Amino acid sequence: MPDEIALVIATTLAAKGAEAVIAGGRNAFSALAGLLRGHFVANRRAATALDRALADPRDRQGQLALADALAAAMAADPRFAAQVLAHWRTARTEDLSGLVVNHVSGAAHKVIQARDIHGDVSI
Amino acid sequence: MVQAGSIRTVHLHQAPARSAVPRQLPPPAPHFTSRTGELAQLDTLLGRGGAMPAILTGPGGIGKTALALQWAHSVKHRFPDGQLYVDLDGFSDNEPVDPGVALTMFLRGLGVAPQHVPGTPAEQSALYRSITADRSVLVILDNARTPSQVRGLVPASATSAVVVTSRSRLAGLVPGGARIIDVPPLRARDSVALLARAVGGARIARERGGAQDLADICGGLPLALLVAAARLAARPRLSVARVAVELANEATRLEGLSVPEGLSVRAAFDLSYRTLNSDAATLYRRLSLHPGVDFGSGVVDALATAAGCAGARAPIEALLQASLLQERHEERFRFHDLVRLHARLKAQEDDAGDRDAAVLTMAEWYLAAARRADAVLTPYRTGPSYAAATEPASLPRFGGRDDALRWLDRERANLIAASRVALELGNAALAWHLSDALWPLLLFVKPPLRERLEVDSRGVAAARLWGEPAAEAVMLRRLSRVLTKLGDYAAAESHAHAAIRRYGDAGDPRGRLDAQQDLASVYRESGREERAAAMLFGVLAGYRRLGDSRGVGLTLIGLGMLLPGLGRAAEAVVLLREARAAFGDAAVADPYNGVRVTLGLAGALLATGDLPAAERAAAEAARGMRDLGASHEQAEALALLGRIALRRDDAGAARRHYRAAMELFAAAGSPRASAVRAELRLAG
Repeated sequence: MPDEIALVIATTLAAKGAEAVIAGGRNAFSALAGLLRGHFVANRRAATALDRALADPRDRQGQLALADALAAAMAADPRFAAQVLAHWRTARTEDLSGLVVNHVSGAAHKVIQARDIHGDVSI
Repeated sequence: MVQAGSIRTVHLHQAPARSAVPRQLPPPAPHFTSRTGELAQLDTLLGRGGAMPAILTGPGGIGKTALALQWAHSVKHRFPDGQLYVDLDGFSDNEPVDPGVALTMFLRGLGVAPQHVPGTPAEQSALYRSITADRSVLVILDNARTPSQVRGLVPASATSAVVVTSRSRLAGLVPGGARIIDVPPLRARDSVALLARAVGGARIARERGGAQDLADICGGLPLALLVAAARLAARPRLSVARVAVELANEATRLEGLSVPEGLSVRAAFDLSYRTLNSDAATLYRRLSLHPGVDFGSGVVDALATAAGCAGARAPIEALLQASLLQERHEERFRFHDLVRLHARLKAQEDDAGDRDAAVLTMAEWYLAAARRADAVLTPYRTGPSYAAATEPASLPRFGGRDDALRWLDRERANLIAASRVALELGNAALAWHLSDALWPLLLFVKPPLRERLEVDSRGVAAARLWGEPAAEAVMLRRLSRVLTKLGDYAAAESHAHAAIRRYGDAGDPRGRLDAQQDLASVYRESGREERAAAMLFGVLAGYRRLGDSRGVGLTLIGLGMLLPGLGRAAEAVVLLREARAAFGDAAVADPYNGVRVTLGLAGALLATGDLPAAERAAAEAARGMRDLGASHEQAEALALLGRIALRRDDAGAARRHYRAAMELFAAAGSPRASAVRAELRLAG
């Protein structure tokens, strides 16, 4: 369960946070990225996963790595978990108020999954 | 919030299931051609019986499913107990079907009532084997991915047959006796024959050369041939040679783009796609993002409206005619998975915002439609509202309960997939509502426990992301109940505790008591009856404080059924008499629980040794449950009468009651049948 939560946060952060960080904006997704960066300061693997996920919103493996790191950190520290969730909700609300739905590349990752499943098939 | 009362009070009374004859085969492929060798092989392999699977293997688009269905339809008369079919590739595009889910569907197809499908895979498997042991059924396992998906679905009888289709060879099944049949590409003349069937014999005969070229380019792949043929059929004046040249050019172009395999398929799809008008092309791309594998016309209409198409009818017709879309059942559409993959590649060229809007349109359509079903099925349910961002159009209208329930059951996989996709998009509220929308189904149809586990787990995750403690508590309770049924007591206990805390956060004392009742169930089921009783006494006091007479009544029943096993039968009798008074007033509104009190009382009285009173109560309960159509509970009352008779040393009466109970349990496919059979044996 926490994994599904962490995955959603990692995926949406990768999609939105990258734009926010690049734009240098002070919106809630960049604040969430900042919270994670601060928490991961002594955890090089987690920090690397965060950088990787933010560098390319289409990098599914990067998002999975970030989700793993995030799930572990949230399980180990409930206060941090609560902060992450609160930040994420704020970010989502901001996002939804601006647009119908955010631009997670859900479809892109579907194609990848379908390909993974039918390893022997290509069209 | 969903009120506790709605969660615990509804029972479905069904007539006992008769053993059903499933007829699950999809229709055969309309232009099926040739394959005489493979059909003969199937005859030889499966004619001998023994239920050893025959595995049809080959690449996508080669016609494995068509071959399996062709053979199945030609021999189905040899299997008088029916035909079972499942597409193991999935009801959504995310994961292959869990063998337990497929098994549950088969059990239901064979007439096992939903509430009698056992919880654990081992028990399900045992029941499947015992039901199929003396039946002759034909089983088609389409698109299997792993040997483990197949193993549990092989019936036990020597007069049954199993055909598996798979892109991989599933060699792991060979040591167990399975045989592999390779499905090769069609030979050139068979390819031409297929074109003739699909396009018209005279036209193909006139253009023999072009047809042979076309067959050649399509590499003997029926899927590619059919897409090319569809183009020809739609354009009577187009020459076959011209289509062959176009396809060859397209394949060469793709080769230049280093698209590695399956050039003919890709080229055929590309060509057909380019001939679609704008509406059909848009719908082709957008529908490829549909959360589940098959879909009805309502969601297509909604999508077409949202995409600004002038209606859905014409574009759907165009896609069907181009063989880019299949209509497996009336008004029920699906893509071949290679076509869907192609459509998704095309969808990647769209703006990401348009793609997400399409997904949102479909997910919200499913929610709005499910809520209509919910309003018919559980109108007393209240819950948090959901503010849709889209305006769902073409929603279904339900004539009554059966209609609504059938719709929910048919769209189950789509609702689950929509919830998953909504969560992936970060729309936690929508994901929660879609999980919650399945509630009437969990209540009345009892879908497989593994599926419920997925739905409820996602519900918890969605609520946590959403930040709604009460919504989270509802899902935690459901999750705890499923885990209890699955025998995972540690997890069930921790989720029940979490639900109690969340109701505390939400300031809902009644919810807390309801969740404590769940916790007591976990204690009881895991053999900690003393603890369960202590908890229930606390809950009882809580309901009394709140003045919740229904909660009081139900808790009294729970305690009354629990205490006799703890040597506290006299106490149980007192509590159940109080419950009887509580339900006496409400007996009109809730006759079921009124009779349940009597059933509990019969058990408690037996434990105190008051045999005449016990017998009167048990007979009354048996009559009451029979009148309500609650056959399972009626059988429990009859078994109790058997026990009472045995205590009176009346072995003849005991046997009579046990036999009646056993028949009812067996008719409903209940695993309790074997326990009662054991009691019957003891009765001599």
